[in-house]
Amino acid sequence: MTQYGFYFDSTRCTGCKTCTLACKDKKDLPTNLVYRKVFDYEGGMWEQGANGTYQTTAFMYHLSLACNHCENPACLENCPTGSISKDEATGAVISGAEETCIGCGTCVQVCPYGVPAVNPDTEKSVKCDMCIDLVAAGKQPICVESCPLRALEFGPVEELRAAHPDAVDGIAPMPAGTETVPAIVIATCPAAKMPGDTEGFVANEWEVAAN
Amino acid sequence: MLELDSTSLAVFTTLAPAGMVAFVVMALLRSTVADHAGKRRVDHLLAIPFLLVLSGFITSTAHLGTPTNALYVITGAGRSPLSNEVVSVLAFLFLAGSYWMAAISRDLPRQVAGAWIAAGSVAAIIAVGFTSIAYSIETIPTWNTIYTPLALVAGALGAGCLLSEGIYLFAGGLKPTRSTVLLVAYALSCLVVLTAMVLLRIELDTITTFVAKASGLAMGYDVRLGFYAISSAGALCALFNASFREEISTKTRLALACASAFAALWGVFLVRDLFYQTYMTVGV
Ligand code: SF4
Ligand code: SF4
Ligand code: SF4
Repeated sequence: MTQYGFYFDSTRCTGCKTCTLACKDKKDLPTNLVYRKVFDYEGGMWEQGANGTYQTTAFMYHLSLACNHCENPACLENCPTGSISKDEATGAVISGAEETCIGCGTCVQVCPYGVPAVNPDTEKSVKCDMCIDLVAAGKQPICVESCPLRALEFGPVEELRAAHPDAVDGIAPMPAGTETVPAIVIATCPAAKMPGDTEGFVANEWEVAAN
Repeated sequence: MLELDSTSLAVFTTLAPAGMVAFVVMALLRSTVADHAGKRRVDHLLAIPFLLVLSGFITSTAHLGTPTNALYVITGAGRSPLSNEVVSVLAFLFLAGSYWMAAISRDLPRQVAGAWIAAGSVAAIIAVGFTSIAYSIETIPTWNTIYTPLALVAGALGAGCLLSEGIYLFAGGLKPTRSTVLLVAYALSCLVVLTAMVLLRIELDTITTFVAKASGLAMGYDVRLGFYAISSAGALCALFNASFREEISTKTRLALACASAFAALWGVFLVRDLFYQTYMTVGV
């Protein structure tokens, strides 16, 4: 299996959420669901120095996250009905098989990236499916295509890592990723904080918790 | 942060493990009953733990979006901790329910009854075990501690012993030494639950993510534990009086047994509900 994944360039992302909306449009999602979320991570302050001048430690950056199609997906491992599968060809993690999902929300509970949601209309688990139909047709996922800043790339994750040797596996507010091994590659902007950071906070918590 | 629809799960993990332990304890005590009529009286009363587990199980389906697909969980034994839990509880319900129906409708040969009830007890022990480890999930550090299975098993053991003692009062009561053992087991189990929950509280202080500090998750943690201690003490007091005060009427005795069962289960529910409130993933 070749594991496909996303590359996200935090030096480019302006937090415009075009990826979120393009995905919503392609997937025809209701108002209360999104498959790709853009986190605003902020922190720091202005501090007065001994000489009376002010220095800033303020920082902020964006992080566009969808399903990371993890190599060790907690959602799949804990689903009691086997409704989540990992695609042999791409490593895409696909949730909520229509005929078997019981809408128990276990996948929602265990994913450390807040990715799956139980669709309140269908009572089935839904999430990013890597635009598997487009990928099978040799195209790119819609979120990647739509980004006006070209901050997203998609491909075999090892190729993405090779193409971006300075990139990392995660930045705050993502967790370290040791549990699920997310298939994601991230270019760090100067403001970026590493997983485990406690200086910043998610400034748009309500927005990203909307699912 | 995910808002969990956890009340139905708290009810399930209160009633089902306690009912299953009560079934095992009653089955053990039944094996020491010599006369046939006495055994049959106990067989009738086994309906109580069975119904407790069944009602807990039915309540738990309230948190499912699509319960009509629930059969797919049964085909998935071994697939995930949750499927193991559900399948083992269903196995218990099948064995205990079929035993009860067979035992009250006809005279079962001694060995058949013994083997059947033993199979139900083994299923109960396995199901309590699977339920206790179903929350040991790597991505949920606040649940993935030793205190989760410890508090669940101790709570179930205690409530199961207390329920058995109370239920046996409906069949004329147990020998005083046995009643004493069950009540002491209940008191000790409550102490274990309290200790586990206090240690969990201390551990929560050390778990922090960007979004939350785990210690801030459970509102009124200490107050809840206080209520747990009070209801458990009340349950113990009521059942002690019901079991040992010879001067009280049968009616009062049975009323006290019911009140004590309710207080004990309420206490366990408070702790279970508190546990669900401590939900937090390692991530966002
Ligand atoms: S990000 Fe979450 S939903 Fe996606 S594969 Fe990983 S654990 Fe599953
Ligand atoms: S909601 Fe559906 S896909 Fe998610 S764990 Fe439950 S059964 Fe599996
Ligand atoms: S890959 Fe497709 S489904 Fe996933 S976030 Fe991008 S557009 Fe949405």
